[in-house]
Amino acid sequence: MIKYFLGTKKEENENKPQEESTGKPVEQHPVIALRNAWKTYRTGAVELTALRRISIHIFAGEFTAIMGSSGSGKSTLMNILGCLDQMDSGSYLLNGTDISSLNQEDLAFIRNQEIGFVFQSFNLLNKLTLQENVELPMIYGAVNRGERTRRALEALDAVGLASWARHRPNEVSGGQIQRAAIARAIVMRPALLMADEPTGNLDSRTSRDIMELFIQLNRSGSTIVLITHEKEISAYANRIIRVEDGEIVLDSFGRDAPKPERDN
Amino acid sequence: MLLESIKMAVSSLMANKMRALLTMLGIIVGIASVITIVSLGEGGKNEVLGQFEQIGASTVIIQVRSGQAQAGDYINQNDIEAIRTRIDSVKHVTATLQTVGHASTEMGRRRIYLSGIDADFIEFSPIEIVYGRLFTEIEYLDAFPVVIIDRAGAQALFGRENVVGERLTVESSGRLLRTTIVGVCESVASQFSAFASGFGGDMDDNRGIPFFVYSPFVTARSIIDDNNRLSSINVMAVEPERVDEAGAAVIRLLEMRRGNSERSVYRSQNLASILDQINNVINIMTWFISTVAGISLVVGGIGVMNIMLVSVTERTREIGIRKAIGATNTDILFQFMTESVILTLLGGMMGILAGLGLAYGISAAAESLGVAQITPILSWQAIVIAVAFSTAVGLFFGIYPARKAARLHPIDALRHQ
Repeated sequence: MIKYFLGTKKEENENKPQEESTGKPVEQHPVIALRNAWKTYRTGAVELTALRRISIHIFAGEFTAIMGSSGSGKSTLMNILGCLDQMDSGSYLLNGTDISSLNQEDLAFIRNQEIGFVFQSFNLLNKLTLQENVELPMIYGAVNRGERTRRALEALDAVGLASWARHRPNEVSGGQIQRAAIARAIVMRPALLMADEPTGNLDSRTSRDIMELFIQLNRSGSTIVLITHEKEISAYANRIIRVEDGEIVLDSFGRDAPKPERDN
Repeated sequence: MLLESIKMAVSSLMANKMRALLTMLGIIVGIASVITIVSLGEGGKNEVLGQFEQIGASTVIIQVRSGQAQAGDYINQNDIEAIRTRIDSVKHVTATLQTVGHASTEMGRRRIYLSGIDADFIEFSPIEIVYGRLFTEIEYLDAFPVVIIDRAGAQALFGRENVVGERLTVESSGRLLRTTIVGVCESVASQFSAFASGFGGDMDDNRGIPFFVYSPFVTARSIIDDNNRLSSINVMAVEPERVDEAGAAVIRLLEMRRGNSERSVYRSQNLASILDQINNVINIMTWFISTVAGISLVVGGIGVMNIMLVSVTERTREIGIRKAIGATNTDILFQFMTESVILTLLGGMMGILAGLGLAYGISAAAESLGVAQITPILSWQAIVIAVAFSTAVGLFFGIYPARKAARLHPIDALRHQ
């Protein structure tokens, strides 16, 4: 049922860990091509360099976890990858589009079309039903009403919430809210699914369910970037990038990752 | 997108009904006061117009300006005769002696409004005879002590309506006149006359609206001391188009007879010029109220701006979420502008209703007090202007909060608790 949400069409087996030392699967084009990203925050006299010349390539179909402790720069990295913020210098191609030259309105369009966000604090609008929440990106994406309803219900079905469409966030559980948020993130069929500590506010059982859902989405083609500081969560990914002090200190393709118990 | 914005705005306002209502109050008061004054003004204009229709479009009133006039300038019966016979454009001319006096019978003493009329009077203001008859030519000429009384007066003074042939003692400024009633007429729609002469209160109270009694002009003169000086006469032109010509001709004739043209003692007023005066008064009132309403709208607008700023702060996170999933600055701007415009537009509509309600309330109160009878009239122009103004207030005072919302950085907004 998740096949419908292919970000980039791919075969089923491709999200197996890549063993090549370059980390570049030959036949794929990069969803993320970040080069020499540099970002400094200034608050008064204090300067804080959050990113120091970071370069990352992430290819279609990859499930990447960006790890790092608080203050490591991983949030800044996520904001830049998610087009919520812009870097001071460097270049960024998202799905082939040069982001560094875009203005605010164009960035909003890119976020709408190419990126789906899943947040730690869910970030659904409480006064809207789950279905209305899922429809929201399509309103900004100028999808017509009939199509909107159809796709929202499909997305909710894909995350197992078909019968909860008319409920409001305060009427369902945290796990269900996060599923709805995932439905919202995939409904525009984005090139990139960004999840920022998606299980941070959930208990371990629900966290597992949510991570299983990400794996399913990844298998059916979604490119996922997961931001986390938890090792157990990062283990669901097949590539781990560790950030410390604004620099990448580790980029491993599944070697360190203990295999999560999938398919049982 | 517009529909979605409206839906969002309505749901957000519904979430804070009381707050929305209080915010709208300034707008409601502003719009309501304008609508009240405008609809009462229109209604009043209409009412006065209706009453002046009795006088008619071909009537012109010639008045002596008391400020400029000397004793010899006042109009007398000879002048009236001259006007009647010598000016082609004049069809009828009449002078009326009017005074407030008392009439008494065995049943009591009542306040009356005595009018001494001539034969032409009924051409200007018809007397509808219910019992008996009008005055005859000889009665007009020879000062017969005869009167016509209105129905309500007959009822009050005799306890019945058909009082033809009864005796009635009429008194004014200490002079008595014993008369015979020759006719009973329909009571005049008296609100305007009462309004104009400043009476109020109950009909059958001594302090109330007086009853109407008519007598021949010359008869009335025997108890009304006017020294044969008339300060105003009514002239009817042969046709409405010639009313100005008739007025000018009458004034020329009077000035010629008195040789006082250099002092411009006389002035003519016709329906149009009287309406102009009424319009002037109404316009001055409308401008005054509009100024007050304008201040109220500005204060209301500031209230809207204030509440929208609060709303932007409260919904910072929502703005962040919307931006993260693809809302552009323009989308957010539009959303908040829509909300403030809906707020003021709703206030404007409620103001229209409240104003109309107030206008009807005032008119009902005025009617029950017998002060005036005015049916409020709400023109579509007034509605359009009210709607346009409330929209403009929403746009003007909504732009700053909406821009503030639109310019929020998505990350800062998302972090907001």
